[in-house]
Amino acid sequence: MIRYIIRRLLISVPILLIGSFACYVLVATAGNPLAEMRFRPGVTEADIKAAEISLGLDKPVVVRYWNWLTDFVSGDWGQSIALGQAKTAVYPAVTDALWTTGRLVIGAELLALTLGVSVGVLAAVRQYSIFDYLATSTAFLMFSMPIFCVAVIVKNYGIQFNNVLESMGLDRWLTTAGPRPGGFSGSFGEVVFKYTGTFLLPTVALMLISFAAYSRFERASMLEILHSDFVRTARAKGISQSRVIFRHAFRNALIPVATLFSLNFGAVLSGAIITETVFGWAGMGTLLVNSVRQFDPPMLMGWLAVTATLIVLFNLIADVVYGILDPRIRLG
Amino acid sequence: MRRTKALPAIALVASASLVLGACGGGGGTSDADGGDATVAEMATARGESADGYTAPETKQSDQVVVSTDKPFTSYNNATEDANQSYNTFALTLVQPGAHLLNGNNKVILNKDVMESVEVTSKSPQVVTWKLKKGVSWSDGEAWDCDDFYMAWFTQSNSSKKADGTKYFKPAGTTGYDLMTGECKDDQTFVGTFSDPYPDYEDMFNNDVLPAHILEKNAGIADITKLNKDSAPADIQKAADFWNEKWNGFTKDLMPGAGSYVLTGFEPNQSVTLERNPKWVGKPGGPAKIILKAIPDPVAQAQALENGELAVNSFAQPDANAATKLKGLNAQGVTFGAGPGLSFEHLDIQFKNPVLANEEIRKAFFMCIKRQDIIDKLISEVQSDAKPMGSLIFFPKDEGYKDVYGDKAKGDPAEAKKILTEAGWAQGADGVFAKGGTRASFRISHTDIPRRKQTVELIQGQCKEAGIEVKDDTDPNFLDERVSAGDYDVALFAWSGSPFKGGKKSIYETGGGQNWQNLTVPAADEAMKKAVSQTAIADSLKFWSEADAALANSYGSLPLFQMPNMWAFKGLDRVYFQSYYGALWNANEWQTK
Repeated sequence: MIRYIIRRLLISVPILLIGSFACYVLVATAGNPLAEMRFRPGVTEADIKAAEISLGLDKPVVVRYWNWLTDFVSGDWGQSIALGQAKTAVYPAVTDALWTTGRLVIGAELLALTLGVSVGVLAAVRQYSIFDYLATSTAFLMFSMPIFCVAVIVKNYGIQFNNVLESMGLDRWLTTAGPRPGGFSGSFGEVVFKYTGTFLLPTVALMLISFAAYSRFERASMLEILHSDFVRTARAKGISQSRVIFRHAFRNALIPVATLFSLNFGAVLSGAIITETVFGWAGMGTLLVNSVRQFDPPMLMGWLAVTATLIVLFNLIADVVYGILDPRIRLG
Repeated sequence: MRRTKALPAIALVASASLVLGACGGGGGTSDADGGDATVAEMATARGESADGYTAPETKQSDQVVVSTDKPFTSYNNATEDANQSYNTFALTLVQPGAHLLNGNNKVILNKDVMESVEVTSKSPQVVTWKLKKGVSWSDGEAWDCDDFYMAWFTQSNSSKKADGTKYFKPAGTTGYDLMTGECKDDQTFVGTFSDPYPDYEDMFNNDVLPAHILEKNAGIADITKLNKDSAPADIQKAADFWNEKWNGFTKDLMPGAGSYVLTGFEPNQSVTLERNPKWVGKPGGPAKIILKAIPDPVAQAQALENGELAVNSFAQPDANAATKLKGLNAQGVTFGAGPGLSFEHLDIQFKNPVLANEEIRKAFFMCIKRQDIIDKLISEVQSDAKPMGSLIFFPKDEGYKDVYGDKAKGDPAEAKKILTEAGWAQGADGVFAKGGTRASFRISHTDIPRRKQTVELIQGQCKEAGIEVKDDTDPNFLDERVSAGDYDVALFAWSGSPFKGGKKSIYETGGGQNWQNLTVPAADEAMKKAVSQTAIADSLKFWSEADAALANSYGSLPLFQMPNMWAFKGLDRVYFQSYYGALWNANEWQTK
């Protein structure tokens, strides 16, 4: 297992190098981050040239990439070069954004997984029942709707719900625009009230999308397993229905969902761009969009380093989980 | 079986109905905007008088959350790396200056902290800034001449290293580079100008930082002893601190001398201001103001609707958010929109052989229906928007005169007449031509939907006049091409200010930002005279002459000012000042 993990990590090194070079070149050649300087009063071409030299923008893009890479492997993530960003240090900016996104998606993904797997199992066990049809309809509806639309719907209903609360003389509960500045304070009850109110809407929006995928995958996988020979044999041996489902079928049916969860979780941690935008959370998605818009390769590279690491990590986790769920799968 | 097949269909239809209903969004379609007269009155601060501004007695209130498009990044907004409007928005009440601008962009002496700003000699021009005694930073240190000296020394950027590069990285040096500054005493800063500089009121307004903090942290004994001939190591120490150490937020390094002080910062999210207990003026306004960045304009509007915020402020107008906010009028939301300090315009490239013909430029100006463009692109945000009539003056400026109204009437028949009288003839393709040259050229612009729509509208309007306009959308147009003059007609925006001096480098022959190769001797002469005055009032006549001469050259056509928009609920008066944002008079805000 250790050898397998080391081998996988080593394989990912050249992939990361190629990916990071491609991203760097694409962003660095897409535009000049200092272009807007030309429109500041009294700024001359000499001023712009001096700023370019100071930021290293006068060097060929390959040299700039190499400089970034050597700094990065020595622990220096660099600074933003975008105008107006005041040379923001990349490392804290990326970790802050990851924390913001993480707070949003961890709860949403875990809820979606729990709900999706439960609904998927129940829908498979009660195939063609009313519950199955409802679960299928809901999942397809969520699948087919643009994420943007789901987020906007959830938000609109959230605001209307608050109006109802207010009309009943209660405090407005749900917030729609990012985390509360200054965090949460007050009594335990107040903290819970504020915390849930802050996270509920974006969490529900993210959860609905992921739930659809998990429930469909779990249902399909569960149906396949329930119709397999070993399940038939288990039933023939007189093993109870619940034991067949949870001991034998469920465990095997989790393999494709585990893969999906690992990949999906790594991907959403790299930025739920639309949900973050609609709900005003400045997370990894916002960081990515701003880096590209402002032609800011150092910040983009910071984002890429974290995202790539997460994807590699969660792929590894998926592989390890296969072995746990199905001992017949051996890694080596 | 039939029942179970029908169920999912019913569920689907029911769900879809709910979805479609919610997708459509809430809110009405009222066009009310809170009353123009009332909003217009809010442009004037309550503390204004004929001779300046003094913070008025104001009822104090609790916390107010204000949204804007982008986050605060630096306490020192005067550096080239940090400079952006969103820092100014947060700092306007933290770092007081000699003057402030009201909602009508009128320059007002800040009498809470200043005694006077006077020209004490005309040749050479000497300006004396007299500071009020007793003004202090929130850490107890005096707000005094040292702070003005540091603002001048760092932004004049006159010290050079051995290799010719400069120590400081100011966002601009305009004015400061013409001045030699000295502190006569703690309350008197005297600036002597090498050339006349009528825009001196544009200096020391939002760039006065605490010199004592730099002295203490950079190890400089006295900033006023630092000059361009000082030891390089000392200048370097000062530059290292000034260039970067005020970025982000470190409470101990960032006191306030205005009515508010920064007390909290969450990167990319928000900055918190609280009333400054050491404020020399009358305290008032909210006890705490949280300026929160919400990049999506509709999300800002919804947060106001949901009661999470009291004020929306948008430096970038958005029609969807404007519609949403107007619809909230019945819920007590006041919507405001007013012209900002940047304006869209068309610049003609005089090296282009087609556009070098004056009759083509005249006909081109004549065929453009500017009000039609405004009606289609701007009116949803600002219903009273009008075409801009000057390259030098904004409509609210003293001296403004519409010098383009008769030149850009949006009259295709008149445009055709101009070309026909000049010997051009309409070809079989409907486009005028003369001597084998067709009346055809490109309009180049960046990939912004509003600009693409502007070009599409102009294409249609000028087609009627027999002029072929081609669209040249280039995402990197503002990078190298515009400054290289690589265009026929350029469509972009200039950011202006109530001060006119910056216009000279754009429109004078050979000017650093005159990328269109414009040469108008009468304008050159008038601008030369304008900038050689020692007071704005004396220069206005010459700026007007330059403006008229530029209009007669048919070189640039101003289209419209980009609007700012804002909305608020539960407060008595909020106005988005184009340069300083919504917080410029937050110390006067009172809850309803």
